[in-house]
Amino acid sequence: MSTLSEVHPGVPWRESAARLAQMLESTADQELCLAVLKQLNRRFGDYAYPGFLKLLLIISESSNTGAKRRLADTIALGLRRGDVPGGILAAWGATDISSAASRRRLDPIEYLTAWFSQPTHRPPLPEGTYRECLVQLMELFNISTVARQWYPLKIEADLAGVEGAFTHQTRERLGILVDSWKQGRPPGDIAQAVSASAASAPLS
Amino acid sequence: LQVPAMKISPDSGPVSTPDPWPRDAESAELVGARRPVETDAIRTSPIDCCTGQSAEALLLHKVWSDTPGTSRRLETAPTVPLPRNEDRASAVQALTDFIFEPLS
Repeated sequence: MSTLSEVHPGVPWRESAARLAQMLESTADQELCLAVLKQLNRRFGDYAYPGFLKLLLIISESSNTGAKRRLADTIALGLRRGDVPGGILAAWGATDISSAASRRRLDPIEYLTAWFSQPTHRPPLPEGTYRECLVQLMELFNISTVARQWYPLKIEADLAGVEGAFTHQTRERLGILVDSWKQGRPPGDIAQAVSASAASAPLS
Repeated sequence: LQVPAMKISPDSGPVSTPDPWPRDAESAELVGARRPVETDAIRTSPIDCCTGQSAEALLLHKVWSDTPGTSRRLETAPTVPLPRNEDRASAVQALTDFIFEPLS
């Protein structure tokens, strides 16, 4: 007999996202929300960060306005502290994440952009999926004035200060993303520009 | 604005970070080294936790109906109460368990 998750594979994810939304809507304590997000991310483990992102994406796509605002504000709090729940990707040139030297912990947008743009330990992320996820995450973060202001600056700081995480192509894409986000362009336009930016360039 | 750059931690450290684990098993045995549990966990942990989907497929998979007018309001089952704990650490753990439970 088939289980519920086999028949309707999205059901447990939507239920899990609903519980996260319920927590966000009913808890005014941002510190608690950030602590829960970090613990939840740890629960997924280093290999399953896309599962954590999936929950953020489901909430972003929902009509739960209060939950989206609280989630964006919580990410903003993490940005201010350099403590946004991140995911592990292989550093460029590495083929696995088995050693500390071959791993980089990246924030959601940097994670997706690096996964899309450069060889990692994961199968490549299709362009359509990257663009769709990028738009949804940016729309989510744009709900918070602080997140909208801080996130591009955070990426800019990482581009200037972190070695070994990004290829030339990834850096180029993130640079375009930062500039266009700071200009206040719509997420759809930004995703279009970012994904098309290095289409003709050789893979670094 | 002073934006904190990415944390340099064992997870995101520079390439020159030494790997304390000896490369071959014999050396490891000689020095009595034990590979950190975390490393083994990374190698063996399932990519997804419940549905048999790969991590990549998770992002592709749509959880919403595309039918126009379909509500996208997330509602939990009415029988599921939000856990309440006075102690902060317990509250974080209980809420995390509560959110993750459908996936486990």
